[in-house]
Amino acid sequence: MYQGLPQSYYIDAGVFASEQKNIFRKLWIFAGLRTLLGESDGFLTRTIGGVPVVIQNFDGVLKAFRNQCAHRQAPLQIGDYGRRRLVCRYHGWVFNDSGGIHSIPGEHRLYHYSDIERNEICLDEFSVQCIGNLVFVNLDKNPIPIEKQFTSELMESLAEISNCFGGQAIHASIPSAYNWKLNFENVLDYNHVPFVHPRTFRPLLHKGAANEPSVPADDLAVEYAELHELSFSGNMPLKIQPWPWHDLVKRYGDSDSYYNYFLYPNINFISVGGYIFLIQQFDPIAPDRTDVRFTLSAAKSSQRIGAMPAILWGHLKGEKRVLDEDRVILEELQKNLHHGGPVAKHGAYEAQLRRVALVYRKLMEK
Amino acid sequence: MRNEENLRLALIGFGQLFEEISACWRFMGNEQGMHQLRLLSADSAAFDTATLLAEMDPAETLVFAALDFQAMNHARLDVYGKARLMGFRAARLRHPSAIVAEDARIGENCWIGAGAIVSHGAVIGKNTIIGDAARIEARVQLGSNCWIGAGASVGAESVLGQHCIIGRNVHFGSKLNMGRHCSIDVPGNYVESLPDGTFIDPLFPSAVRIYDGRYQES
Repeated sequence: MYQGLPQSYYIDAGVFASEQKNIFRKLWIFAGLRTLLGESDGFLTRTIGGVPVVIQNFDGVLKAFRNQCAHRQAPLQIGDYGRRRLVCRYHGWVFNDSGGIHSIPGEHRLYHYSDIERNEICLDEFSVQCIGNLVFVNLDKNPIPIEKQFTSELMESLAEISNCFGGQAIHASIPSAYNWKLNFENVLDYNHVPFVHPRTFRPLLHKGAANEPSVPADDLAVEYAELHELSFSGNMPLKIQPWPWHDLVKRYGDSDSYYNYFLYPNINFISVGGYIFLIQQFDPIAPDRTDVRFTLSAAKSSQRIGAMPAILWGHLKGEKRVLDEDRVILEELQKNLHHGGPVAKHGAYEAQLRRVALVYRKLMEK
Repeated sequence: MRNEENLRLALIGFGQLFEEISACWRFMGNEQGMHQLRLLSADSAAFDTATLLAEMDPAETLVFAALDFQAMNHARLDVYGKARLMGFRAARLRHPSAIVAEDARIGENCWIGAGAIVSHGAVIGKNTIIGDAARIEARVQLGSNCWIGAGASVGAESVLGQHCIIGRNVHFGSKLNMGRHCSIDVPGNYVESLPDGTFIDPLFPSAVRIYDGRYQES
């Protein structure tokens, strides 16, 4: 049996602040899709570790900056995705691809900065890496090599599958009243499926191993884990309902499988048969609040599919209904958490939760 | 049926709209009878349409595809499109209590429901359904393959793109734009334009958007 994290780790504001600093501002965090930033001046905005971030396409090169003007801290870009030069809406300051000043309206009449002062005015820049179609950002001044977080095999697999995404993606944000860790633990816990999703997800699983999993007892207790062990992928057979549009796309792989990627700290990326791709991100807002962000795409098509918006919308609604089944449990679980309450008692099948807890504690100690 | 009086109607589809038109057909002052061609589901609608219409003569028959807004009206479009490919023309139908301005232009395979009002200068694209008691104000332009729910309204001079859904009791203001493939299904007043691929739905607490990497520079 493995002990889980204390309940206070899911409700305490101090712990939450430490997570923002030691996890979300230290690790590589998924920010969005490369295909949605295809044109020059395309941008996306996010808040990561409490920091507003803009990722902007400068003639094909993606750069990430703090999304606050260096002048009076107004947001430079507004909206999840869009296309616009990196210009502050408040006083018209224009920034270049290094985060420096390109121009300031009325600069010589109004500001009178010295050359030294002007050169020091610059946006904070952050590191960006793309794995296939997935854009990651790291807010640390000395970011860890991404290979320390994700193995090269995993990154190759992620690149291959994410390069199959079509050009359209549907995006939704669902405020949820629980701690972000509960949702990551929940997606790692396949044993909840028969109990929480008996009519939505479970019927899609084939009878046998996938539907009644069993694991051996651990030979050696899990006492140590590395960061890169927390992110991994797997797949299992799934009953896929055929749709006419399936014939018009190039699916990932060639089997009716459920592909499942877990990317620590807060991503669960799945694909249904290589036709539909869903990225679920558990975005921490407060100790007891998480925004679950859904980004859903279909596989690339060989021709224009006029009904693609309806296809994406239909699948998104289905995935939301599955999430709602989890949210009912997790929100009630969160309500009951209290300081000094008993900790989780993980069995052998939950060894991965033990690894997550071990690495989490190590990250939080730094 | 107001036009093409001498042709027999083949009503093909299923669901609420199908039942509604079937039920009020005898009150619509039509001399001709009607074939009711009931589909089982939207999944194979186009295929089943071809089978059901195979024995009918396009020169003697008008069709009306009567499906609700499944797949953002693509299911109804599949049936209507299949019938057109087979050489059939589609009817324009309206409930006897609907009020339609003389200069309003209504496309093929459109239905104007009971008590609905379509004001002057309005243009309604083909395969668009106007629900009971809906109000389409002056010079509104509705794209093809739209659905306006019962009791909803679209304010004067607003423009809706193709494949939009306005749910029941939704009031979309005047001089606004709604992009293609948008849906509002939460009753209330809306006073801002919506870009392509925007969904306002009770299942989601905030608007859902489709992005494709091509944005209007703002």
